[in-house]
Amino acid sequence: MAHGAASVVASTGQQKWGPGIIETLGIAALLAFAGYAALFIAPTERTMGVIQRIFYFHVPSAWTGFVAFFINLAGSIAFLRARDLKWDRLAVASAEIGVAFFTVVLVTGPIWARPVWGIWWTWDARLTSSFVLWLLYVCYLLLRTLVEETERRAVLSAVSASLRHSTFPWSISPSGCFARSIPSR
Amino acid sequence: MIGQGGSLDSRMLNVLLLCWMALLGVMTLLLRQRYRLETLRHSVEELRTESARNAPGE
Repeated sequence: MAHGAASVVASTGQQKWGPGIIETLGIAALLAFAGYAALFIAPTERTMGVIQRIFYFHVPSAWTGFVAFFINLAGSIAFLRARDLKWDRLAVASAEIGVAFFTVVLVTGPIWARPVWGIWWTWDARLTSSFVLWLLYVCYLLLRTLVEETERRAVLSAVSASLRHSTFPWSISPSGCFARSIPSR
Repeated sequence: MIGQGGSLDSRMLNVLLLCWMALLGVMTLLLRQRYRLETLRHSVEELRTESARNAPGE
């Protein structure tokens, strides 16, 4: 036991805690500049007005959420192929981050839609599939807390990835940032 | 201003891509931290299992 514990402690002790301060500051500066650009540099949209600026947070959050969910899918597939738990760890980490970004999307979407289209929400294909995708990931994270055995939890999570990603085509398919799938006022 | 044919004004597109890059940076940072946390949690689980297996009386 002593040897096993020592090796675990050694392996975790060797890890560097946190990204470099310069890297963090760099991303913080980039984020601040992006916020400034979205609010002050980008031109005001002719018909929607100032509220359209939420687009610069809403759409990138959705794209970033999708990237995180694709990492989740890749991690799940890699785990099923290699049975290495590091892929499961990557999958769960990316799922949580994807849910966070998608929560931003689901909150900013209605805030944008209400003044522009006169409605908070409509059950069209893209919105519904985005909501279902978010819900499936929340369920995935909840499901993981219910299974105690590590290996079994990882297998169940990876298999359920195929179900979750079946909603992807509907979430992504309507092309164009201003696609009017939402009824007008 | 939306350009002709529904395409985005180039300044809007640039700001959009800048915002996306910034959020991708945040995502990378968070993902790395979260992965490390998960690795640590896994190590703690292993230690707990190991100590339970080697506990006296078992």
